[in-house]
Amino acid sequence: METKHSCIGRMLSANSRECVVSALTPQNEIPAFGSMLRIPMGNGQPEIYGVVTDITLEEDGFLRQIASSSGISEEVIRDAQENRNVPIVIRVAFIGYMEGDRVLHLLPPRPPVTLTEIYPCTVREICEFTRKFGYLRLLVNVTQQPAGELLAVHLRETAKAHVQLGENDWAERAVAEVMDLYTDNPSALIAVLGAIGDADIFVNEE
Amino acid sequence: MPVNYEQLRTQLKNAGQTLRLRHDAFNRAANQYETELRAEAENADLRERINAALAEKPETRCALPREEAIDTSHPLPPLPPVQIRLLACDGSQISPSRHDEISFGLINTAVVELIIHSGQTPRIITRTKLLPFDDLPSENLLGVQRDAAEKRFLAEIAAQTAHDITTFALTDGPLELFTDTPEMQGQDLLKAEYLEALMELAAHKIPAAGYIDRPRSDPVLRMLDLLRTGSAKEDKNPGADDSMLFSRLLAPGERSAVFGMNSRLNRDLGKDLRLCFFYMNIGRPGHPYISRVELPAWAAEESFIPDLLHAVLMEQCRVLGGHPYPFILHRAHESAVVTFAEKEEIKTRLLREMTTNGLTPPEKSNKQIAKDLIGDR
Repeated sequence: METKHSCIGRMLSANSRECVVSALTPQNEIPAFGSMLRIPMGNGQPEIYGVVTDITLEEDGFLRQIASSSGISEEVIRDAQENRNVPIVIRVAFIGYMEGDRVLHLLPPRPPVTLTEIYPCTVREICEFTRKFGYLRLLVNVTQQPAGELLAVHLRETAKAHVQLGENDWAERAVAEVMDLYTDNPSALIAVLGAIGDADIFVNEE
Repeated sequence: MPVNYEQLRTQLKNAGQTLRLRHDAFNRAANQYETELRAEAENADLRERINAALAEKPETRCALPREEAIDTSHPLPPLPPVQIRLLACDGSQISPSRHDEISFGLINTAVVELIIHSGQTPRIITRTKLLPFDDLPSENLLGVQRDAAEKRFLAEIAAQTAHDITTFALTDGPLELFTDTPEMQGQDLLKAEYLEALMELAAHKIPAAGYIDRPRSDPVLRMLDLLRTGSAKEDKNPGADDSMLFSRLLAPGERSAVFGMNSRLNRDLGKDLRLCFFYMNIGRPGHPYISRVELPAWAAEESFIPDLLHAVLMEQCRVLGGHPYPFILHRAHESAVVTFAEKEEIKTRLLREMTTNGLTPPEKSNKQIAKDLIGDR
């Protein structure tokens, strides 16, 4: 049985479309750009799913002071990277929610409350949620990042999860869906397909 | 508008003029003290004269010359390319307040271990202690308890570490435990524990060192007063301190001679643990910045220790670039500090425990509730 991941942070603020999360984990364990997270609301409320759309390392005056010094030792660098609680803020766009076993590719009825815990999705959770492509409609409308970059990394990582479960044609079907979404906007489609091409999303089971 | 800026306007103008006069007097005094220090450094009978003066007033708090000339300045030695273990401890506290929902006290201490030239990630160990409710200390006593807890924790961690490489045990602030306050009467156990911690470090040949940023004390000036007049001034020299003197004597990176300290508290420590100190200029050309480093006599007598400590602390200060302060001491502070949010979390859990045990959680005092209504305005 696949192991559930541990909590990576808590929610700081939210609206109907997205939330901002403060990461608790060391820098090298923070979820990747484009990866999927889930936000269990508890009390019989739906479990919200989202995609990481931005990661910010917040300003820290002390680090700025260290960075401006020359010849910093390995010990100091490792301390800063592994020990210090540098605020890492993650922006997560909502792509739908689960009500029981039912997947809904719609914005959640209400945002999660402050300090709700956030978890990375397991391979099975990713595959269950993305078996249909309605959620891509929400993802292409994310405005903070170039849509092509976000879609490309998201599709590449999600395709890997589907390949693990033997769903080898998922990437091809996902790209077809993206092309449909951009039917009326050929210039944007060219940019998105360029990014998808660079991401080399058509992985094969090895 | 609570501050009457109209009334303050004239006062601020006068303050500016007063500060100017004070600064000029400061400089004249510094010139005089510098001349005296250099002249006394040449005198062969320096120590005899100090001893004679101290015979009359043995508890006079002042610096004592050691073997080297008192105007010696040591250039910055290179940091040897070997592993050196630094242990730094700092503490923070929650002071009991009768205006909170529940009055409680807490001491949080952290030790950071950093091994220079190891490439290893520094280790951080923290210890949190909730104080017994039937014996909550005053603010001053809690500060001393925290100092003692820091030294005990440092000694404990130092004892557990391998003794294969040179190790320093650093704390921010003086090594001396100031025990002359009324609250300290009867706190013999605390003093004994503190002393034991220093002895344990000495037993492992680990020099304890207290780092004082921007010191404002004047033991060397008092020593010079003693030599000039036969008695040290009762009060601190107004506007003048040792930093002023050593910012003239020491070039950036240099340290002073090591001095002993004459005080009743120091005499109580015994010969090996008596505190000695030196000054360092951690500033840059044209912008001197003096810090004081305290270490026990046994460490000061090992010829390599003051030099190595000098090199290590300068290296640590360099990490923080334009505002030098030992990196590891700052990290110990960061690791130990109890934030407002943490205090609130602890209080919430405490109140929850009260509820679990059938008690009704109390409220804040009316005064505090009224203050909170205004917030951080």
